[in-house]
Amino acid sequence: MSYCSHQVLIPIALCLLWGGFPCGTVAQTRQLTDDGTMKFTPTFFRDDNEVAFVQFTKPTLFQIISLKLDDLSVRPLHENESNHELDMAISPDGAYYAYIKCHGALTGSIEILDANQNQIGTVPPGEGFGIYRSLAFAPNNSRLLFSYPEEVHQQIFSVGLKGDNRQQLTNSSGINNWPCFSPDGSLIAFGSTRDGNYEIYTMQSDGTGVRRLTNSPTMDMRPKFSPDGQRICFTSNRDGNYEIYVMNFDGSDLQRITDHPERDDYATWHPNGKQLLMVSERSGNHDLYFVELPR
Amino acid sequence: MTTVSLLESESVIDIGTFRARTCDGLSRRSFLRLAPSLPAALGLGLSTSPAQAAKPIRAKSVVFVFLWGGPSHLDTFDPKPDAPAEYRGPLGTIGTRTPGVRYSELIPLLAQRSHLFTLIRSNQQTAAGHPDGGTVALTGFEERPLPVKPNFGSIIAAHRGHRGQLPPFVSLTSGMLADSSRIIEGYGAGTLPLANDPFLVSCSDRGQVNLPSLRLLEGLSPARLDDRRTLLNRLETDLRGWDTAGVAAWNKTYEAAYRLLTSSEARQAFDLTSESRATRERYGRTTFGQSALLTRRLVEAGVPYIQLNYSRHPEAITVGYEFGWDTHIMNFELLQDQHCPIFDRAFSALLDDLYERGLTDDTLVIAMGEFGRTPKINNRASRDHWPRCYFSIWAGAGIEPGRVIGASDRLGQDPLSDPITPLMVGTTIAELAGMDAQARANLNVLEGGTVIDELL
Repeated sequence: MSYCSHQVLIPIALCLLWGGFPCGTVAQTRQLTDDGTMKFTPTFFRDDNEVAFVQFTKPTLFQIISLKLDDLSVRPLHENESNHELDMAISPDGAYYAYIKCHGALTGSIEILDANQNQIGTVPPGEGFGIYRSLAFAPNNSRLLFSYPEEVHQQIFSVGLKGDNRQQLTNSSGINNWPCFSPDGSLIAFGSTRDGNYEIYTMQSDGTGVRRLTNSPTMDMRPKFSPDGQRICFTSNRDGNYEIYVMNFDGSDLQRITDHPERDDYATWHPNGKQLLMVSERSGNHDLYFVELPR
Repeated sequence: MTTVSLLESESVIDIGTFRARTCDGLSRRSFLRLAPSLPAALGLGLSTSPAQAAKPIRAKSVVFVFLWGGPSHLDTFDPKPDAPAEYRGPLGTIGTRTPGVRYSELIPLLAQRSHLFTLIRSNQQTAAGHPDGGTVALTGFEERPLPVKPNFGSIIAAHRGHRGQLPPFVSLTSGMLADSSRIIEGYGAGTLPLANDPFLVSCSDRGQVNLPSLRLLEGLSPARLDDRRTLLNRLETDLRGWDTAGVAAWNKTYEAAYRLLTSSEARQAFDLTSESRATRERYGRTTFGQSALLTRRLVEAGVPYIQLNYSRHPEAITVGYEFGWDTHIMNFELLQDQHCPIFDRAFSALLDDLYERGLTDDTLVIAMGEFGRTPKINNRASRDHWPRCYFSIWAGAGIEPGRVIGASDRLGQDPLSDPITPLMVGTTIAELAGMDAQARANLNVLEGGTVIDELL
């Protein structure tokens, strides 16, 4: 893989600097990119030195981008791919990854590959319009979670890594989205509108034992378990714009992590469990930041 | 494709290359079909003086923000929090600066600015599909029966005529608006002379401006562009080998292009680098955001009609197409992750900027799509087309702001009051731009149209 040196976004020194957001952010932050292009769903790739994220590269293309944290070089994960790529997920051991690849109009498949980009499995597009969303691997690489709309509602499903043996895990009204396994594989955190608006829930890995964790009149979404499984980070609109919050896995001890008039979103845990990686909009620019969690 | 920068400091205006013998095999005539706005930009084809009405002009400039694809009214400006879940959707609502009026939680910046504009919640039209719906939204009439009627911008262009170096009708887009490969028939002059077609200008998320209609000057550096003799020599070279018919006309075209491209007025209007970084960031680093900033500059430059398009295509997610508001799938995800944050920021910045500069006194700003979306959530947990009820936003030109005109029923399916049609939208635009009924009749446009009385 060749890295595009001209796409190195910011001086390496920048990544060594920690600072707070100017508008009262609770936690310390570190900026990783400065190109400002819209970014989505960052996740750690292979190890704690590389992340992948989806970028709105141009008005006609969503693209998965790899970012090396040691030199901040970036490159498209799949060179010469002209179809939209959405919602990348990486297995905890880095052995596999999956993403959604769009085909034609309003459809897409799930592509499952190993770390060397060898195809392992595929979930082909469903009938008619519709697209899969929000992929997540089981800790033991046995299953892949995703969300898909059917019969008015949107449910959470799982498949084997060959794309086979599809199982439905939720069966509620509304939209179920953003599934995420706990590190021991026993729980799945997810967002759901089953009670009226987006809230955070957990369920057993077989779909039973649903438990509601949040209760706010606006959106709570995109939950992610911490590496030790004790906490969940998520995005909430409860204070007027998108901010990052952390709570215990049972919903207790809610903490607001960011506080800025612009958007903080798409938080995921650093493998060390002490920082979050997120997309923040600052002065109209969308960039990746690390945010240090309060002790 | 090589490009030419007109500015030495930063490439902000690129003139794409036009090859007489392209790899696509384009002929001169096919080029003309691809670039219908060129005559408009250059003021060619105008043989008569524009009609001038005695009516005072409340809107010297009109900004028509076209939300191509049809944004969901229930998930933006007309939420129904008390409707059943399959209509209401998953989003919460927030208060606005207008007492008793609530918007979706996805547009907080515009909720804080509801006192700057008037919201209509009772728009209605007749065409449920995109190409036709787009034509109705932009002309007031369906595509059939022929002939296709002129775009509102073309009407204003015909009325005002070409003054100065800038075209009277600018459409901000990366290409002709299209549904898949089919161009909206109501994009341009329709029954009016082709000189009133829109002049296409695109703007990237970096603020780089491109004039696709002027893809005819190859290999010219800024310095050489200032050398008229070099330019004309180059043109003669390019034209050599073509059939001689029309060469004289092309010489006129090139000369007119030269005037436009070397005009300091035009160069300044299209130069976003003269804006401060803070101003450019205020609009957001997105194509729509920077295009909105360019819109404000074109208003300052006195362009009579600017159509600011959210996207070239309506499709929600289709390979090779820009992302519009046609959210048959992923409605809520696209709105919450992408469209609403982009629109909320850029349109708020545009309103603030126009107000702060005192430009709203004689500028009319409208934002709307071609229709709304189905109040009842579809099989894919999203929303389909809904022409029976949707919204529009109106600001400036003396319109009393902070109001809500019209209302939809409890499910957002139909207006409870008299519907506001696209023909009424166009007629009201024309009226505010100084075209009274007689002026409209003189051009044979907007026949049967009435103004939106409550708005005026």
